[in-house]
Amino acid sequence: MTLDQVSNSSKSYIVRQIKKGPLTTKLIDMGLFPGKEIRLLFKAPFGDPIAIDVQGYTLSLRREEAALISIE
Amino acid sequence: MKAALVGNPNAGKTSVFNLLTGLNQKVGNYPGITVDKKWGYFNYQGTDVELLDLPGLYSIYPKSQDEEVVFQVLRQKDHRDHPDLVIVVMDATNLERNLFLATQILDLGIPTLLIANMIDLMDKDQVGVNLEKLSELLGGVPLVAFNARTGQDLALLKSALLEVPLEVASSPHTQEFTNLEDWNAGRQEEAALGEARYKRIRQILSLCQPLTRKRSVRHQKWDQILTHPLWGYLIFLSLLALIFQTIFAWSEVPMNLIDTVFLTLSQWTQATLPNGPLTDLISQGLIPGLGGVMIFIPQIAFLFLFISLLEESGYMSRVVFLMDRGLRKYGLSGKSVVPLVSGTACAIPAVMATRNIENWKERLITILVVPFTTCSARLPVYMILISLVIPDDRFLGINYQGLTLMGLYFLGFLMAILSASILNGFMKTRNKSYFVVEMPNYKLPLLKNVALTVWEKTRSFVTEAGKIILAISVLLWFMASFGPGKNFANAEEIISQ
Repeated sequence: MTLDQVSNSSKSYIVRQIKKGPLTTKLIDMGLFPGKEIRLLFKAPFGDPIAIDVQGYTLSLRREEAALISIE
Repeated sequence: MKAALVGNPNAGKTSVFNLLTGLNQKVGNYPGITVDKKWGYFNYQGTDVELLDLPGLYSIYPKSQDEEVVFQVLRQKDHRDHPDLVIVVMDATNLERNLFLATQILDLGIPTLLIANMIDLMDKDQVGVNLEKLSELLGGVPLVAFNARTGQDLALLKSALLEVPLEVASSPHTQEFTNLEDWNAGRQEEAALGEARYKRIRQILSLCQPLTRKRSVRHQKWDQILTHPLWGYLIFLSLLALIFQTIFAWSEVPMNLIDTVFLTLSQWTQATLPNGPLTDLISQGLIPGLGGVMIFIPQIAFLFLFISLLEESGYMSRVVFLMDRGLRKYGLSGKSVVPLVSGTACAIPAVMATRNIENWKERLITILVVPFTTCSARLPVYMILISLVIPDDRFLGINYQGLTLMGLYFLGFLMAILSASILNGFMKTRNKSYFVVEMPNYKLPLLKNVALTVWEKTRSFVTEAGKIILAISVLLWFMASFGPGKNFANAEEIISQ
């Protein structure tokens, strides 16, 4: 599944892969590399953007970008 | 010696810069682009250090205009700002991501000093990293633990800075950056390099982090309220209303005072100096011109005080988060909120504040619509018009004049949004916009940082915008005094006689 489908904020997920595209590097730079543990924190109204816990810091991103991140 | 400060946003780079340079700071521009260039000076034990504060970034591979500057300064050995030494400020509570940039800088082969900032929080989180071991594993790079909030051990930091050997053996990874010039072409390769780098960092950290405890994200309760679908917006709106109210309430007395002082001064010069064009120039041109600049100082200072409080506390990034979806429809980004709010003080710094919007279309639209927000220079004009046209009555305790003023602000924002959506309609871009933003932890704003921001912004308003206002004021006086005069205005009558 991809990160934008997550609605449960009590469960942690592992980043599996970042979809190839212009944003791949940006997301990896921000610490979302395969193997990283992440967790949903909260969502803005209408579920977009979302805020996630990237082990130690909070990252906000739009649903579109979250859809690029496969998790397990 | 020339040194440059580099670090992730929110790692405390500005605090370190302020601690080291204090009031010896200068602000300018990199030629041709709207990126602030900030530098300062200090002297320690007889060595003069020129310290350049580079924009915050996450990776040496540039993705925005800000980051491009850092890339060029560090990469091009013949760049006029190329430093002898780089100081990398890292957030000790999040070393993994901070080391990503730090190891890239090390791989560039520039002499480096690493600072593990917020060391107090690292101890509190009990993520205890053995810093000596870390320094050793990174190839013996000097690494200093520091707490920029208290500024304790500043002398240790300074002496560590002077002890950094200015010759470095080229690092084994330097070759990653040898053909960086065509970095844009090899994006996928770059992603693989990034993954490999994180892998290496994890290995290094696992060796110097004996107890691996989960770090918790702080202040989640605050976020539940401040980013709440209803309360979040209400709190932001009330906060804005409160800020504007306070600015007007607090500015009134100093503004009247400044007005009186310059009026008196003008009258005094007129009365004291011998009559003549020079006296007129001073009393009717220069002094009112100066007064016209000075009178805005209270409002601008208060507005920047509030804006920097919002930014320093970490709240602004929540507002950006809340507003993104709404603004996206109009071709703006959540990040446009900061410029739009700063635009109420002055459009110039507001336009400067757009530089961290990565997508050029969103940035351009933001720049183009920011002038629609009511800046403080427009305020006196509104005030005069309102007091002429709108009765000073109350309805249900609400002052009509105050209400009108708020309406005018609202109209400004509305026009900004309207123009944005028009621009959005016909501006095309190939680059897709994105929004990947760190939300810093809430923290108590540091008085020193806030004070320096207010000082710096107000000073640059007086010197930059002030020059132009003064020049035009003198020009207007000249035209009023030596213009065509009555003969021209009455030309028709004179001729028909």
